[in-house]
Amino acid sequence: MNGLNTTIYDELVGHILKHQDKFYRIAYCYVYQKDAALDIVQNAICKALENYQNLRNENAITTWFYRILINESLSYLRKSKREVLCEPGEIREDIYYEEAYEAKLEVYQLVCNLPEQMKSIVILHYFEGLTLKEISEALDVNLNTVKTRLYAALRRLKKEMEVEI
Amino acid sequence: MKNLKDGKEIYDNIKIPEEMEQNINDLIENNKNRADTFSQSKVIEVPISKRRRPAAYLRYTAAAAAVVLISFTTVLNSSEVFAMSAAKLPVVGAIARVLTVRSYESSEDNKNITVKVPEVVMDGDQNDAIESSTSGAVNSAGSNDTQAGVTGTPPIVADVNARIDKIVEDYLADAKARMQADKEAFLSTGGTEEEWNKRDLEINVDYEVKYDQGNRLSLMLSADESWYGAYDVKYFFNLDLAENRELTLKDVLGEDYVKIADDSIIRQMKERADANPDYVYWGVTDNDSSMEGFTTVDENTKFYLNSEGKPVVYFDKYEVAPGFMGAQEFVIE
Repeated sequence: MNGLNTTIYDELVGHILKHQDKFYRIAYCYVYQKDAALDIVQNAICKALENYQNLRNENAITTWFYRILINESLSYLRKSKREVLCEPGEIREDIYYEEAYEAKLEVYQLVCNLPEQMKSIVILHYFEGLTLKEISEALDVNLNTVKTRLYAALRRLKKEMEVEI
Repeated sequence: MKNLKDGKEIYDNIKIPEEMEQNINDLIENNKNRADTFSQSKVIEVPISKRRRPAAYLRYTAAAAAVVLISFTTVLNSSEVFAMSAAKLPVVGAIARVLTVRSYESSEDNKNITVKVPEVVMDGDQNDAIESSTSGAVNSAGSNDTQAGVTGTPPIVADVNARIDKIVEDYLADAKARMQADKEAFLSTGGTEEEWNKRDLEINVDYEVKYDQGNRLSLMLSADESWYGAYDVKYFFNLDLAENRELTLKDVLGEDYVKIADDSIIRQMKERADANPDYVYWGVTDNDSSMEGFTTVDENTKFYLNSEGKPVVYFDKYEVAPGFMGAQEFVIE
């Protein structure tokens, strides 16, 4: 491996090692199952390491990797051919559970049960703290579309939370 | 929004599996080895039939080995002296070899296409050996160049090679068509040419030699598109070179092969489903399911020979179980 690429490769490895927990949590939000989420993260890492040459700019590592990860998650769902709905019952075992979380679980569940396109945006923005512009890069969707979907998601969540209460 | 913060609190408390860190370290380490292999331009001996690695890494191992083979064929073609001496080396253990005859990486529309097309070549008469003792580096990995192989090539080998070529050609044509259709959809829904070019898309065709001893050769050809897992395909070729025909499960397991294989597969399905509560084999461990699952093996059932020469029955994703379980393999003892 030559000079410049080595740097990007090393940056990528560093990024993976540092943020692996985040990757797992994101993947988990799609499949709600430990082994499946692990598979997704590992597949995403393989793809990233294999294709690091496509990464021209080390500043883009974050969004580039998110894109791979989310694509992996969605393709995993498509392949598994089953609609996975997030149920608090199963999730209690996969989080550090406290009784105080009971009401909060419902919010998490509502977010996770949003349609895919909205869900990814809400997770990346509110849970991972990405800017809308970063999300537009990560999801390969233009910025206005990201905004439209985010607002649609929020309207929907608001409505559902009112109904819940 | 206050409520979304509640959701984040749950999110932040998702447990991270203990084994993940080690798995990831292994992945990175493994990939590093592979990257190192790429940078070597020397010819290295590859004992194909002895390769054994954990399943998860097979794809990468195969890629690395294929790269080595490419450098080998390149040397064959580029140095007449080398080619002549390699062609005359004695061969031990196998009468056929699998070489990468065509290997290319191209970039159409900025999308990468990596193809390694295998071809089965016969090793010539083994008695007509040894003139050169100089090519120590080549060792038993040596093989005939394609031309020398032609004379003694049984029809079945030519047939298999033609089928491989056809499969690869068809797959590439389909994959490119899908890519083109995607591009049109992408552009017509507001994407720009520039944005499209930034998307990473790949088509990969690769192969792996599963077993290569005596008269028996077992080869797997695989193809995939990077973002379209649904189009992964695998083909298996099992040959009996002495008999000049395809090897069947019946050849390996005997007259009773259907019963032997069925019993073994159903037993293993039950064991796996018992060991893992998430596992379901349609129609075997889950009779309520409307999904059609495993019923019986027949002459068309996909299989290959593992490194011990035992048949391994292979079911594609979705064939007998939900996709999250992946492809399912059963070694028939």
